[in-house]
Amino acid sequence: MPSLGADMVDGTLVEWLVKPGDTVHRGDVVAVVDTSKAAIEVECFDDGIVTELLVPAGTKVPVGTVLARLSEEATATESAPVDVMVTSPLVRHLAQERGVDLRDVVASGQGGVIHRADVLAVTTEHDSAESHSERVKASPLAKRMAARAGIDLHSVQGAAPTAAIVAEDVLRAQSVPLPDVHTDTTPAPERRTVDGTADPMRSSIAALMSLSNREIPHYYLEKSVDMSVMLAWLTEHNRERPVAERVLPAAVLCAAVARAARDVPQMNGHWIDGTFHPANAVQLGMVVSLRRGGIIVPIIKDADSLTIPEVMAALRRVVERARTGKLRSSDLAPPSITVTNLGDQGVDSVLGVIYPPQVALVGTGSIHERPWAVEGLLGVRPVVTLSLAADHRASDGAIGGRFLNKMERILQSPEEL
Amino acid sequence: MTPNEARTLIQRTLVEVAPDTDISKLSDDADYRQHLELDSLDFLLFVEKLSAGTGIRIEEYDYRELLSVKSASEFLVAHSADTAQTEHPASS
Repeated sequence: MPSLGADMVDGTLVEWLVKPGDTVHRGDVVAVVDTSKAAIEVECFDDGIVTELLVPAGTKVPVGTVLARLSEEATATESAPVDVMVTSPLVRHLAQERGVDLRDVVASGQGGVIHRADVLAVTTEHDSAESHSERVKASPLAKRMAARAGIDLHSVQGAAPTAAIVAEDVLRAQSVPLPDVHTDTTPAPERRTVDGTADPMRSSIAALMSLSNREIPHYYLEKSVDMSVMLAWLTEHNRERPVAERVLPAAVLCAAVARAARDVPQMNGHWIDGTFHPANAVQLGMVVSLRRGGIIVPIIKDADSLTIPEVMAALRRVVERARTGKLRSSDLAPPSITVTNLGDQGVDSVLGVIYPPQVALVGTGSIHERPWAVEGLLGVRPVVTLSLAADHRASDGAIGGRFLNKMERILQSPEEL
Repeated sequence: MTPNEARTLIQRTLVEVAPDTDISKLSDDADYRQHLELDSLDFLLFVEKLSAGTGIRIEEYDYRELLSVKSASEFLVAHSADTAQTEHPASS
């Protein structure tokens, strides 16, 4: 089960689109998976022949579970797990968060690859045996189920105060899913739907954002930028072009974030195991709000190497897929930096919450006409306020300032993009 | 294109762009970008579909005439006449 977003704990295999004996290629859609947010088309990561489907349709499994086996055509006896899309930085991040030494973890993946489930298995032992002074009495099945569901046994009520927790109690706790992916006991805020059950979309957002606010010492910077040169360039570019080829300011802002992230690499990467790991390219996460509520964060792949029209095309593609529920697993690969554009909602600026383990989130407000002084003269210019929320563990304000200044220079010389 | 045809096309296109929204309460004068919470990408898609559905060329500076059902249908009616004349000069 691939990780389809930093807040995903498990997924339900809805449908297999291949069967044993089928030849598949890298990038083929092989299955449909339902997360708490959307149905996602899962792409195959390699070429080969499907030998075995391990997870039947309709089953909910944790991230990291092997879904199927492939054999390479040349060496038909060897099989490889289909889930190498599991992002090791996230697994390592989980381990760090839970205080698990990865050397203690029994790897279930091929070639010693450690999956999220392996880390979770160790954590349950930690939880029940060591980290808590008060040991929870629970049946082995209840422990396993709680680990799989990411439930802290301390939050589960037994039939009586002194009774051991059994599977049934865990099931009851699961029906009100606490997004407890941390050893911390602070309950994450939840929104209940009208009928009183937790909304899974809200729960997963709540879990990740609470983690961010608990762990990341954010600092915030803002900068207002004159957009007149950029808008003039856009008007010129869009003139006489068919609607499908027109570029929106949102795409230009995304392109500028990507270029600035490439030039200021301290903003582009992940904070894992107490150190910053810069990313090689810019995988730009885009916060897309869904009409039925909630958000999803697909990526524009290698956004720093795309031209503005290419960014625009990618933006249209991922937003349309996100809103029509046709995202693919590659759209939900881990971003290296995220941008949220609330300009269309008419807000001036947004001071965001970083998506761990990323270290920066860029916000863009609406482009408004404002009084603007240049060399002692007052004029009216279209102005946008850019904001940066950055992780103070990974960078300091001076670096963040350099990032916003870089964005300003890029936005004022669109011909260089 | 008659005003009624234009109106129907606009409403149908809005539903295509923003499914799950209720346009029955949308008044003719209301700015549907605010009313239906359309972002700039939704609006671009709306313009693209209108243009494709009518064959009318819509430039960026025309967008301001497309912000309510009333003004947009007036725009479509006025410009569909142009399109008909340029495409079929003999028939007019």
